Parts: sequence; structure tokens; C-alpha cells
Amino acid sequence: MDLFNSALQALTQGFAAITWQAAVMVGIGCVLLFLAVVKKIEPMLLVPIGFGIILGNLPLAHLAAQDEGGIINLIYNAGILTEIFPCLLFVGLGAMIDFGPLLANPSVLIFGAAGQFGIFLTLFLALALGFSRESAISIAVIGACDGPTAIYVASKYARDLLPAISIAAYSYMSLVPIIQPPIMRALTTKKERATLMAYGEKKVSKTVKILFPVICAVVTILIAPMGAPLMGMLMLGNFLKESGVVGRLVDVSENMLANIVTLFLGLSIGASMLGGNFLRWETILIFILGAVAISLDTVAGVLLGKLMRVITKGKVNPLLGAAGTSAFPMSARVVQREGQKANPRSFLLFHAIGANTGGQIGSVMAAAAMLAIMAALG
Amino acid sequence: MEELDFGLTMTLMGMGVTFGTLLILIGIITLLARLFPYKKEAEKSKEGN
Repeated sequence: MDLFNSALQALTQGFAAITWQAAVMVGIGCVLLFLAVVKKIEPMLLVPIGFGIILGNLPLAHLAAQDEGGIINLIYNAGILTEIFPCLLFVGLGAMIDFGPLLANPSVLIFGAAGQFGIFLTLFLALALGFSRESAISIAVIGACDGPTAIYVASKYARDLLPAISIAAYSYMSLVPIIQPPIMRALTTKKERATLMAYGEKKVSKTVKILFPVICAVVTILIAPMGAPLMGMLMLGNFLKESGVVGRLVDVSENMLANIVTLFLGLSIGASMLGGNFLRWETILIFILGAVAISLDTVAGVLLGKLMRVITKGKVNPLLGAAGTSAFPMSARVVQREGQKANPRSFLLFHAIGANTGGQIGSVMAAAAMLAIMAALG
Repeated sequence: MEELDFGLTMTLMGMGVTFGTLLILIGIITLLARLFPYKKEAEKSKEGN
């Protein structure tokens, strides 16, 4: 009978050890899987994150990112804590991005700077709410609308907030089509939104396309060396693509490498979201601040767009400013859709893609500048 | 007050560096486009190769 009891106890110890926080997290993991599988929302990311949450929160499984020696702990230590995953993702991203629209119309690059304004205003808010400088910076970078950059900064300065920050960053990237349109409509008149912009894909020479990633990497890294890993990898990926001589490396970068890293990154981030450290007031604040950051990015971008419209005497559609975030290509699509709603003859996609890729560069520059200043301040 | 100073420094320097760098890049792209303008025939032959 004792033997039976011991066996029964051994087989039920998992159930006995589960806490209410772990149960809630398993529920959250299931919700993410539901959103990914049934609603098709960011499945590439939500499936590994959702499954990672479930695995990480099951008691005695030793699968949390924090469980020393566990398989996910090894992945987490090797890829997240060393900051390798976000950098490798940037190689893939660089190989996917076409800077052609930006090179054809370089003035839209300025929207890529305005699109980062929310980062800095959110920094103030986070500081005012009592977050430490390191945490405030990491939270503010959610406003970059750029998952890998947010993970890179948070893994440097706020590892305890990393799960919440990465989930918020990726969630808001996919929520851009819901967050941006009301702000764009509120800040512009229908006449402004209906502004027609000259359409016609200006061609750029292959030489310019090849030289741009090299020169951009050199200039930006010389200005802000702290952002070198991100910018260097982004431009490496783009150079592979534009050079036209390493098709196999481009294929590997934009497919296999990006997919493998996304899988391991999602899994280890998910498995780091334990009930005890995720279900707290700070997490809710981080999500609120992230939404504020992205909203402020849109506000700053659209306001700059309005200014550009005045300066150019009506040649720039102010909606373009909203594409200055690095939520690529979601922001550009939102701009195109809103522009066409106001004027069916409007075709802003080419310009918006340019501003959107500019936002990609702008977000890395903003993060690099913050890292450099933090390093300087000790 | 110290945190306000920090926030202000970060905002001014951060936005300044971001805007400044992107303006430099605009200048470089414009210069590159002038130095290496798109030539239809040349690009076609490159693509052919």
C-alpha cells in the first residue's frame, strides 16, 4: 500500500506543485496559441512564444529559461543574454529589405527620425513612474516598433523586464494597423489626407544600391558605435542581397537563419515568462507605456508630415509621417490604405515603403544613441 | 530633478543624433545618386550578366 501511495504521489507531484500564477501563465500561453493558429496573428512568433510560456511554467519540468542547465536555459543564455539572436535576426531582415524606394526619394528618411520621437517622450513617462534609468530606456525602446532592437536593449539593461518588453514590442508591431489610423485621422483633415503625391518608381542604379549599405554602416557606426552590432548586421544582410553574388547566403539569411532564430528566440522568451515575474503591476505599466510610445511616434511623424506639406506647398501627404516607424511593412500599408480611403486615386505605397525603411535605420540609430549616452554616463 | 536632467539629455542628444545622422545619410544618398545615375541600358546589361 505504501508503494502504491509513493507511486501515486510521484505521479501527481506535478499537479500538486502547480501554482495559480503558473496556471494563469499556461492559460496565457494557450490564448497566444489560439490567436496564432485560429486568428492567424503573427503565428511565426506567437506559436513559439505561446508554447514556450506553457513549457516554462509547468512545474518540475525544468524548462523555464531561468532553470540552470535546462535545454531552454541553454538556448536563452546562448542567444538572448549574449545578444546574438537580435543581431542574427537583423542579418535576415537586411536581406529582406529593399532600400530602393528610400534611395529613390531620400528626403523621406527624415520621417524615420520623427518616428522615433515617442521613444524619448516615453522615457520621461517611465522615469516619472519610478522606473530606473536602465528600465526606462528599455521600456521606451518599445516605441522603436522593432522587436530585435527592443530585445537587444532590454537584454543589456533590464533583463528582468525582457519578457514583458519583448512581448509588448512584438504585440504592438502587429497592432500598428489598429493603433495608427485613428491618430492619423484625428491629426489631419480629409483634404490633407487626400494629397496626391507624384507617382512613378524612380529607378536607382545598382551601384548606389550596393554602396549604400557599406556607407550607411560606416557612417552610422562611426557616429554611434554602441549600435554597431545591430546596424552592422542589418547592412551586412542588405549588402549580401544587393551585391548579387551570394544568392545562397541571401537565401539562408532571409529564410533559414531568420526562421531558426525566430523559433529559438520566441521559445526562450516565452519560457522566461514565469508567473512570478510576469504577473505584476510593472508588466501592465510596460504595456501601457509601449502603446503610448507607438502612439507618440505616429503623432510626431504625422505632425512632421504636416510641416513638410506646408514647406513643399502641398506636395507631401502628411500621412507619410506615420510610416516613419520601423514596423515594416505594416506602417507603410496603413498609410497606403488611409491615403486611398481619402482619395481613391492616391498611391502612397512607394513613398511610404521608403519612409518605413528609413524608420528601420532611425530606430537603430535612436537605440544606439541611447546606449552610447548610457555608456558615457556610466 | 536628476531624472529630469537625464531624460532631457537623453531626448536632446538622442533625437539630435538620430536626426543628424539621417540628414547626413540623405546628403550621401543624394550625392551617390548624382555620381552614379541610373542608366537604363547599363542596368539592363548588368542584369543580363
